[in-house]
Amino acid sequence: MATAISEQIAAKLQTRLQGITVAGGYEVTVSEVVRGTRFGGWRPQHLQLVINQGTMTRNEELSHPGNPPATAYDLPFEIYGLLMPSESATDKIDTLRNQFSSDVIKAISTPQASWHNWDTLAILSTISDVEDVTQEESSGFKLTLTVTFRVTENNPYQGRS
Amino acid sequence: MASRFDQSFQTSGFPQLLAEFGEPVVYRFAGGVTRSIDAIIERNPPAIFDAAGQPMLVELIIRIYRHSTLGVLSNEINRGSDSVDVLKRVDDVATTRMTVTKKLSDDSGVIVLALN
Repeated sequence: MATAISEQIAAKLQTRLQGITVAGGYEVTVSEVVRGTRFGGWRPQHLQLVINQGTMTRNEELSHPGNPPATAYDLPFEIYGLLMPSESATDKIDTLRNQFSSDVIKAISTPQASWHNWDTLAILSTISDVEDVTQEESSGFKLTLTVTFRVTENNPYQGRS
Repeated sequence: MASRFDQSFQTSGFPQLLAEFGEPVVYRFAGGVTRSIDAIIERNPPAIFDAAGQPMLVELIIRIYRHSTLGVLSNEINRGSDSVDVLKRVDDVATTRMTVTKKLSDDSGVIVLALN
């Protein structure tokens, strides 16, 4: 079964994030990296990451002609980091947020030389703001990563340089 | 100070409701200790909205007895760290572990918890 380029990128993102462990040189160990099912299918946990895929939009500027032409897309991923330490924990929540979000950026952008092209699947990646997401029952952050990739116009399973 | 109704409901009213409508669940404390208790389960309740107006994904609401052995005491609850093994659908064979995310109320011996 063929795997769409967009799906391959999403799977690689999940794999990179799953590598966040103290033993692996990070400041925290992620409890779980989740891609939701139709009804969610996950339960909130401390130091958990949830990946939501946004609307894939056509990037005209980076598309190019040919036979067949290549179409570029911008694919945004919203990565939510959940912080739910014990009610009696004395750790500063902002310190936890700083560590966890920094680890996420570090994991996404590893390996340093080629992180942005996702093993040649993509042509560009951009990490945007780290937004504070504080709710009554949890704290955390939302980080947006946009991956730009090119595929054959009539075959999104085939990547194009 | 609790009213006479509150006291009466705590000592006899809610235990009777629990006997009629309660289902067995396993409450899992953050440290790993578990307690088998009964809970009245409201499945698929309406969404609760947070301060920003965003719907929270509350999947179950449970009502448990505020009691040291037959239920859980208020000061034992650790939101975000505790979980409950519960039948998510009535006819499920296996239980699903859900996180205690919110304490909705704590009155008259009844603790109402939101689970995700």
